[in-house]
Amino acid sequence: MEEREKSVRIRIRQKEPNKLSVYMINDDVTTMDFVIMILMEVFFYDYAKAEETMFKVDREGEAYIGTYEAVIAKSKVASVEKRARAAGFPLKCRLEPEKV
Amino acid sequence: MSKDYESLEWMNKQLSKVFHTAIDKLFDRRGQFMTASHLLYEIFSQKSFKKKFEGIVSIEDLKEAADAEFEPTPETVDYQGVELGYDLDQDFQNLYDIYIAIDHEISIDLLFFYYLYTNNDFCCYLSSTFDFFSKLELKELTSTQVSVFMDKLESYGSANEGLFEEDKETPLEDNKDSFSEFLKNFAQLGVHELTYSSDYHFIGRKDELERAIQILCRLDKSNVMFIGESGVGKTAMMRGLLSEFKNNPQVPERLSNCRVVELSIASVLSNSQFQGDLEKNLISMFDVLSAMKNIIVFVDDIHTIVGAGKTDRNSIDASTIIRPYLNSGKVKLIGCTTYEEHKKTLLNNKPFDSCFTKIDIAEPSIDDSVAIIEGIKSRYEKHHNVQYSSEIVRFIVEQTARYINDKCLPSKAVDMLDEVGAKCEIMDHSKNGVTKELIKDTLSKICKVAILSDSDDESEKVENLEERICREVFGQNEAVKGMCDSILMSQAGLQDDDKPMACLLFVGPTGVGKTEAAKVLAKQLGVSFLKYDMSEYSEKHSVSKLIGSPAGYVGYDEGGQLTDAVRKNPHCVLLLDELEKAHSDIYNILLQIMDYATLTDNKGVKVDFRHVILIMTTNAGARFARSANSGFLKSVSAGEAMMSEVKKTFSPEFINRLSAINIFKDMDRDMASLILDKKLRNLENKLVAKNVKLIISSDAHNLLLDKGYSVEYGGRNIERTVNDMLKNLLMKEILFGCLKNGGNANVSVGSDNESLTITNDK
Repeated sequence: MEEREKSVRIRIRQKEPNKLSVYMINDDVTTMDFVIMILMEVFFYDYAKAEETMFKVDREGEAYIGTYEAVIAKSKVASVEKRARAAGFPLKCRLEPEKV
Repeated sequence: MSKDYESLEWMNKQLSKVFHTAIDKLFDRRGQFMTASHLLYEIFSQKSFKKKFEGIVSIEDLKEAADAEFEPTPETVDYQGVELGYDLDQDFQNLYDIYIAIDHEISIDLLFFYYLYTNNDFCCYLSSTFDFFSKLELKELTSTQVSVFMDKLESYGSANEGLFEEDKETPLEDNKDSFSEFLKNFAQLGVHELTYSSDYHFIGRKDELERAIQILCRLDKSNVMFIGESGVGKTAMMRGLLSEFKNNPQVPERLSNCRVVELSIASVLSNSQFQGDLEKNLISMFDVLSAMKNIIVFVDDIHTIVGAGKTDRNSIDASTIIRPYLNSGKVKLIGCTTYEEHKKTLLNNKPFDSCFTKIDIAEPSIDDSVAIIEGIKSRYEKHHNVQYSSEIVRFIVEQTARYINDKCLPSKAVDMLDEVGAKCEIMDHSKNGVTKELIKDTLSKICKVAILSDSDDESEKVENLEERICREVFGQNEAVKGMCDSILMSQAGLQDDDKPMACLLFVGPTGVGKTEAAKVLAKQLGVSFLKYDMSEYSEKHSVSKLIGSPAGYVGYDEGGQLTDAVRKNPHCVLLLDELEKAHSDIYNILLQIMDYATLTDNKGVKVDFRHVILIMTTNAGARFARSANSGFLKSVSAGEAMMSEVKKTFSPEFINRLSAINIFKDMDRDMASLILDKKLRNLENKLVAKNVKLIISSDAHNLLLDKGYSVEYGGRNIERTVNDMLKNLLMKEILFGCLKNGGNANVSVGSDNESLTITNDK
């Protein structure tokens, strides 16, 4: 049993450390101020960088925000969407496995 | 937008406390999210949990993960407080649902269960999921709650599907390590190895062993079922096989290297709390068993497999799961069962039954049983601190074989050996060893039969039998002699073996001692006495009272009165009183009793009548006996007259099968006088209790005899006369008259010469 247990354990542990990249997607409803606020409160951007990224989202349709531990990335996205819904905006983010 | 779980009412105290500590700590460090790792790390940091799961949970790994998932809010940003991480958010929602479903607060143990089932990463922190699992408790939940809980987990746990399935897939190579591993893994399910022990000597049963080995060598369906009555040593056959594997060079190598494991279905069942556990356990066990070679599985009471785990008519039971393994010959199985259970359960499951080749295990002979007990008696000698000589062992076997009939040798003899040993111990007979008296004493308590004879030699028991009976039955010397001769004949072994000890027909008028003679015979032989008044069996259908009603009729379950009674007391005097009053169909079942000494009851069980002394009484022809003597020419004797009437009443085939017809003669005055004396003696004994001494004058005696003596009505008339004339009188005197305070009752003839008077001279 022990040996088999070990094999189970090893199989699971061999999973790559799981990181996810977060992208923000543009839409025509969400206000620029709200996006800047989100970037500052959830992703801890300073105002200048937040404004720049916001413009990038607007210009290019989406922008890379950052790479985090999977749980954190998902939590941040969930947090973003929760805030957006509360404010009545359809703001969305996209997750992608970490770029190597 | 608040969520249901946010009230946190679903957490029990302990969990909620830990949860808040974890939040506070994160808050102090300005953490943004709280994830499952944070919560778990906090739980395992608690002293009690640290200790409980030491070596199982890797706290370092957990801390590493918690640190990686720690996202501090920079000083430059306003701190918004701790948010629940994406995973915890989901988990809490699920746990809240569970809380609602089971209506029980979620404890930390329940949380662990939840994580074991749903979180793959959680298992990374465990050195063994199995060990961890075994530490968890669901004690606080009722079984319904547990099943609801597990159902819920199943529905959430699809992500973690591989975890528990994984356990059984590793193929095991054929070596010693894998076997011991198998034992270790399945010990919890009641699997253990049976090993050969050199101090165990298996005796006899060569044919059965050979046959069993032959079957085990087969390619398919190499399964054996030993069938025999309980106590004949079916389980011992397994040990016999083990010693045969070890010691007999002719056994093929693939068997002699076999290892035997015993599987207890009860243990498997008791370890299968949840729906589906039984199936899972059995399949994983038999998968491993079929992967290993040279394994024989032994299941005692194999019938318990049939129906085990069956919840309703259509569901699968243990036998259905095991059957494919047996059919393909991948697993060799040896089972034991009794005929009764085999009929009741296994025959209803034909496919399972057909996987086995049956070997009948018959009751061992007396000599074999003696040898078996000689082999094992040392255990009991040691336990009770007594000695059993070989003479005693043989005596025990013979006596139990004779008197105990609902059990089988050798176990009934072993039981007796044990019980006598215990008795010896209690009574402190240990110095003297076990004696035959002690055995007889114990036996008569078990069998409820007085084992009177002082000797185990049967011939002494019947010595002087005639004399002893004549002392109690008066004036019927010829009939008694005839009866005794028949019994002596069978005692001497001259009778056919498959016939009852004696079949006697007592013919004679009423009240001359026919029934009494049978009663006394039973008492003198020390066997039980069964009496049936055949007047109760005068209807055609009353046969079913004797041998049991047919299936489907009322009374089927009750069995037959006669068959049951004789099965319980095979050594008996069976008296069928007033046979001519029974319906003639009843004679027919008597025919086969008299011829083959067996009777089959409604359930098909054969009852042995070989040790029965069958006595039937009849009055038929007695009336004519007297008329034979009247008239002018006494050309026809009483005996002949009666015989001619008996021949008319009973069919020739019936009369043909009797060992003897004993004619009881009419009462004469001498006989009447003896009977009167006996009755008066009985009365005297009763009066002693009232402090009354009975003194009867010879005149009074004669008067009683004159009144009581009657050829027509026999002995009963004497009793009636004593009742009418003497007892009535005594009754009045004892209650209200001169004998109120006891004294001497002088009985004399009254002045009218017709009645008695009583005076008290004290």
